[in-house]
Amino acid sequence: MAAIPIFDACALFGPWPQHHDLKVESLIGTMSGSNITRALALSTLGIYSDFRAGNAATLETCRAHPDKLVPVATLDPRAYPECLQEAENCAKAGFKLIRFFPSRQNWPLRLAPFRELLQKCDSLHLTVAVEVSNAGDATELADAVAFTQAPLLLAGVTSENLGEAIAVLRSSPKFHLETTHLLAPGALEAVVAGVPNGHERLVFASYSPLRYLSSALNVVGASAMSGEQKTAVIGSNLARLMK
Amino acid sequence: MPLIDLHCHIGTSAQTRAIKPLEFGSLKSYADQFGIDVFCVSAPQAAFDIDGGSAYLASQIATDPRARGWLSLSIHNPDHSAELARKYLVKTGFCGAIIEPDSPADVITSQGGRDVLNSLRRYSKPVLVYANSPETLLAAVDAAKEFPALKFLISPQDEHLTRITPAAMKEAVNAFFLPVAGHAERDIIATAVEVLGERRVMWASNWGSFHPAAALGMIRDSALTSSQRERVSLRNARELLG
Repeated sequence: MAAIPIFDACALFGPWPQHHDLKVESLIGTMSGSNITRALALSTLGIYSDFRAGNAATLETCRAHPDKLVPVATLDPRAYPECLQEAENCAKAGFKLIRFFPSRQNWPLRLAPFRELLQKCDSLHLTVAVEVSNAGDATELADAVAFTQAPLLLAGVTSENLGEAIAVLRSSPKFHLETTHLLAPGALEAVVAGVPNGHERLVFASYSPLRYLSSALNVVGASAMSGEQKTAVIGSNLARLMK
Repeated sequence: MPLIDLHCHIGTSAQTRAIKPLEFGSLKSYADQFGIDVFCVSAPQAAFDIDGGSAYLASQIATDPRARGWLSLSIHNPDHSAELARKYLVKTGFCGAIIEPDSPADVITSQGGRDVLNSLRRYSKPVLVYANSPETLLAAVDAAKEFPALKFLISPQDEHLTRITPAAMKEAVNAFFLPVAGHAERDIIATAVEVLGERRVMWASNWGSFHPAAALGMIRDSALTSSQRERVSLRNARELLG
């Protein structure tokens, strides 16, 4: 497992509430020590403060580590209509993926500006990842993005809401699921068994250095998936999505 | 590394609802695979069927000498809880009592909670208390101060509570921190050791709800000395269980 190059779908840097700053050096060190060759990285400024400042910080940091970090933008639909312009700016700047944090930013998925922003992202061919932590969130999101074609990452899904996530994954091949919180024994195997090409729909995301990397990685490594399936989950699925 | 696993779950839990529930036979296989010396188990069934869940747990832990049971008690039914404690906590197979709030407002310092804790004083066994809200966390800390003869294991049940628990429980010297890897941000173990000292931080896999590989990864990534790591994963639990 350790020898396989890992492509991490979510790494963070910047300030975090009630936590020491997530330092870029710490992130890079964690990656180097764990065979993570590349990570999609995001400045937390964009989550907790201003998405424009956060996206600028993300670009700057990722440009300083071009072999390791791939920039990911975040948008906040509460900043409407400015967020639509920022989506265009992100596409022009070369961002390929946009993350949304409705739970952490405390806004509902059923929000007119968010629906419009999703349409904008789809028209700009931007892949999106959306935090769907609570029961019903993934269903709400699936309804909101019925018109989109681009791949979409479900983030923050816990084992408690796994049944709902599996139903959404079955509804369309565009949906993919981050592994971060699928920590129940058998959760990853349930996706592989319950979803067509299930192993191609799981994407490893550690949220390093905020979370324990070994916790996230060990659960994939110790799962009953085949070696080929694990390789897909920790790297090749994300590489395919980011092409 | 030898381990004592202070909390596992058998049967269907919220986390395994969409997956095949894990039974006691699988738990024994896990203990074999990871070299677990002792594992302490609760039965989620007892949360809604206190008699049936307790009887089921007693029957299961009797089949493996490494197994210990956490007896589920309810602050809403203190008399019956006292009766169950008299029945089960005198047995060596039960390591202590577990009290899980039914709601975020179910504080252990309610009259029912105090009655249950009073009834537990005679057994010299620890009490595992879940905190699922700031109110239940602060009540668990207050209860630890109010019942100094009892040892409390406080297990926060979300990320925010896990972050704030070590500082909140610092003054309650008979309270021990038992984080759940699924709710842990890095490096809560090292932070807790810094705040509480290495003797008041313990380890559990929460097998049955969470994959043990997650909790093992948490210990592996923690910035601890080898001596602190051994204390957290083994020696503290050994001293707690007696």
